[in-house]
This record gives sequence, C-alpha cells and structure tokens, in this order.
Amino acid sequence: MSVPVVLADRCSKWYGPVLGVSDIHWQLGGGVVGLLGPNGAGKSTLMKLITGLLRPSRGSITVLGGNPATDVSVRRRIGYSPEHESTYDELTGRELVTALAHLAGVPRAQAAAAAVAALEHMGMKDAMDRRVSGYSKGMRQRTKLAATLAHDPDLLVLDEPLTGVDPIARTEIIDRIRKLATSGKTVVVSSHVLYEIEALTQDIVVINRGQVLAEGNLYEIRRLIDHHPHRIQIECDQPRELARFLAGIEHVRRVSVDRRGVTVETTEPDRCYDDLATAMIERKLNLRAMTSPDNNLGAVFDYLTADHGSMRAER
Amino acid sequence: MTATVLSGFEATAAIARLSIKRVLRGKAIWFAVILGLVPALLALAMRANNADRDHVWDGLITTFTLVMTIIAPILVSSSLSDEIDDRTAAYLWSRALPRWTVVTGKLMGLVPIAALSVMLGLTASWLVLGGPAMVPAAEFGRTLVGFGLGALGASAVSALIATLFPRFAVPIAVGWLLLFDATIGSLDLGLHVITVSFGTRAIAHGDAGLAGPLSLAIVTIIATAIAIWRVDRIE
Repeated sequence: MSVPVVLADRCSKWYGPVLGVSDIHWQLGGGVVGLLGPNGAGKSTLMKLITGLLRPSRGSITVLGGNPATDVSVRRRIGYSPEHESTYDELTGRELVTALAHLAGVPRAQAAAAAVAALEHMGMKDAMDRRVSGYSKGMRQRTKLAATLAHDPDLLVLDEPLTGVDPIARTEIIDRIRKLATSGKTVVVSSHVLYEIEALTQDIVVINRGQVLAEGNLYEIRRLIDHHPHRIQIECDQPRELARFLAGIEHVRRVSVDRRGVTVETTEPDRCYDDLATAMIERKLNLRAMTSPDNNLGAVFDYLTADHGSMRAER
Repeated sequence: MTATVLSGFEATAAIARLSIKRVLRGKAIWFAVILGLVPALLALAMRANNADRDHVWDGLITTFTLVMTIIAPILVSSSLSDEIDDRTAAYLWSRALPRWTVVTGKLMGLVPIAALSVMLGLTASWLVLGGPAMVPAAEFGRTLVGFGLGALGASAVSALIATLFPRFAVPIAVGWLLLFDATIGSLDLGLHVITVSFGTRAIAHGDAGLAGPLSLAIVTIIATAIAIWRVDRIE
C-alpha cells in the first residue's frame, strides 16, 4: 500500500482561544488538490501544518511518511509558497531564488542554475536580474513560485498563489501550475475563489471554520452548492404585488417583504430569474435593483455547515 | 540536481551570506558606519582642547560602549525581527534546515559587520587623537578586541530580544542595552558582571583579569541559547 503524501489524523490547531483547524481527518494521495474556503476558514493553518511551520495542538500530521515540523528531510521534499507577498526585496529575483534553493538543500554550485531554470519556467527570464522591490504583484507571485519549485520538491503547497495578480498573470500562473501537475508533482493549492480552483483542478476540499465540509470531485461539490437555497433581493415600486406573484411559484421556498423590498428564497435560481422577468413585464412593475447576497462562497459554506454538516463526495 | 539536507554549519553559513547581502544593500549599514564614526568628531574636539590623554581615551571607550549598544540592535535585532514580523521567516522555517541555524547564521553574518562598524570608528578616533603617540598600539589593540567581543555579546542580546519582541525589537534592544545594561554595567553591584558593557570595558581597559571575557562569554551563550529556544517555538 502506498504511503499517502499527506495524512492528517484528527488534527487540530488553535492559537490560544482561536481555532485554526479542528479535528481534521484528511488524506491526500497525489495529484492537484484545491483547498477552497472563505478567508479565515483554516486553509493557511492547514498548509502551515503540512509544511511544518506549525505543530498540531492535538492529533498528528504526516507528510511523505514523516513529521514535517521535526524532520528536515521531509521539508526538503516540500515547496511552500506563503500567502503574503513579503520577500527579500533587497535581492534580485535570481539571488532570492538561488539563496532559497540552496537553503532547501540544492548544493551551492548547482543552486544558481536551478534558480534560473525555475525562474524561466515561471516566465521571469527577462526580469530575474532586477531587484524584487521593483516587481509587480504578479512578478512577485511568479518569483515565489520559482523559489517553491527550484529544489525540485515532490509536494508543492501554494497558499493563495493567485491573490492580487492581474488577469494575464493569473492565466499564466494557472497554466504553469497545471504544467507542474502534469510533471508528476503533488500540488496543494488554496483559494477563496471557486473559479480559480476550478481552473486548476477537479479535486477540491472545502474548508470552513477549521473543518473539512466537503471533499471530492468539483462537480459533486458544485451539485451541493447548487442545492443551496438561493436568495434574491428585489427593489421595485410594488413589492407586495411582486411577493404575491412569487408566492405561487413551485420552486420558491419563501418570500418576505420589508422596507428594502422583496426577498425570495429559491432552489432554482435560473428559473426564478426568468419568472422575475415575466412578473416585471406582465404586472408592469418597475425594477429598481436586484441583488443576490448568496453569490459568495461564505454563504454557501454557512449553508453546508448549518444544514448539511460535513459532506464527502465520491472521487 | 540532487537536493540534500544541509549540515548545521552549511545552513548557518548560507543564512550568514544571505544576511550579509541584505544588510549591505540596506540603509542600516550606513547608519551603523556613520554612528561609529561620530565619536571621532568628539576625539577631534578633545584633541583641539588638549584634553588629558587618559581622560580622553576613557571617555571614548565609554562613548563607544554606548555606540555599540545602538549599532548591534540596528543590525541584528532588525534583521531577525523583520524576518518574524514581515513573515519572511516562513521561507526559512519551511526549508530543510534546523531553526537554530537562523539565529547562528544571523550572528555569524552580522556580528563581524557590527564589530567592524565600531572598530572602524574606534580606529578613526585613535588616529585623530594621534595614534600610537597618544595611545600605545598594544592598548589600542586590546580595546579593539574588547569591542569585537562586546559586539558579539551585544548582538546575541539583540537577537534574543528580537525573538522575544519582534514587533518592537530595535527600540527594546537599544533601551535594554543603553539603559539597563550600560547602567548596571557601570555600577559595582555584583550584577554588573553579567552585562555586555562591563565585559567590553574590562577587556578594553585591560583590568579585571578573566572577568571581562567570562562575562561576555556567559552573556553571549545564555542569550543565544534562549534565542534559539525561542525561535524553535515561534509559530
């Protein structure tokens, strides 16, 4: 039986009274896995546990067969890109990646060549001799990623690698991370944006409030998300008339009227939007505004937590 | 390419090289060198006033003790606390090296710079005063050794304070060395033997026998050991 790349066994981590992750039992065999969750969900804590930056308060975490917090030979096989963009700004990209490659165990004589190869792989060939202080966010992210892979690790842990980068750099970084995956690396990548993860992998782990809520194929998770009752708030000139119309529709679970307008809760948002358009035309209602407070992952996670508990989809 | 695990010495040396490169490109090095040269102006003024030789040299040693307590935190505390506070330490902690090498590496790289900054100013002051004609070369050499070792002790204390209070490491380290260490070190209260300033002055003046080197050795070892212990627990 092959050893899992990551095995979290009832792993908890708290900082004083603040919970980072709670009783996580999770196993990663390989490939690319996306950690998905809102800010503060526990993604970064889990990644720091995987990379040995943190020790579990309870339970254990095993990476590549060893304890990453105490076994430096395990950390040699891990490449970690932290969420923050702080780096050694006084250095050039080449110097930074060379130094970090050597510290990761690449012999000094080979570190420079490994750094250049990694920077070229990340599309930083032309800028590698400029100081990091002059880099854009996208260039910093790419340099961080180059530093992550320069020592040829088996496991890459990338914490929010797409945060703050422009759309072009985002596409390039996604493309390069996908290439890493095809070269046989195990990649754990986090994001609080579903479509970013979607572009990288089909295997995702949904985390919120320090717990794994759902794990498995993206389409299964999407199905869970799609079952999430969707709220739509409508401001119009005749809210009571609109509420009466909506109350008679099959997929509408609840309608309420308050001073802000009408709030409708539906299990089929697409059909509901069609019905709203029909109501506007047939009943001659003047629409002022229409918003959906549920169009964010936080609301979906709240729903999964409150109503469904932990769900595991089939891989 | 085959990545291996660096030995403790290799990792220490790598951290030292990285720290030196960063410090040499920052502003702190200029501040340290300029601060180290300020007492030379004092020496110039004293020479112009034909001040008493022993009085002048003693005054300079006291002044350089204070200068050293500012230079060491500026170079060492800031280097270590910036790693922790700016979270760049994550790049080091996540790599295949034991955490203690970060402390030893910083000291290996930055102590010589701190020591040289002080020694450069001391040499300039000595030359301004008239060199061997004013202060014999042996006495001057002993003073250089005192401040070289003193810089090691002050740097170790600065590193310790950086690991304990990374947010305000430099002012706290300067405050500790300038107010507590220098004050206690100048008073004959028994406690003075565990201060950097006492050890430095004892060696520089060539008195107190082995008490000076022992004092600095104890302070350096204890401060470094606690800093290493602390770094191993930082999350």
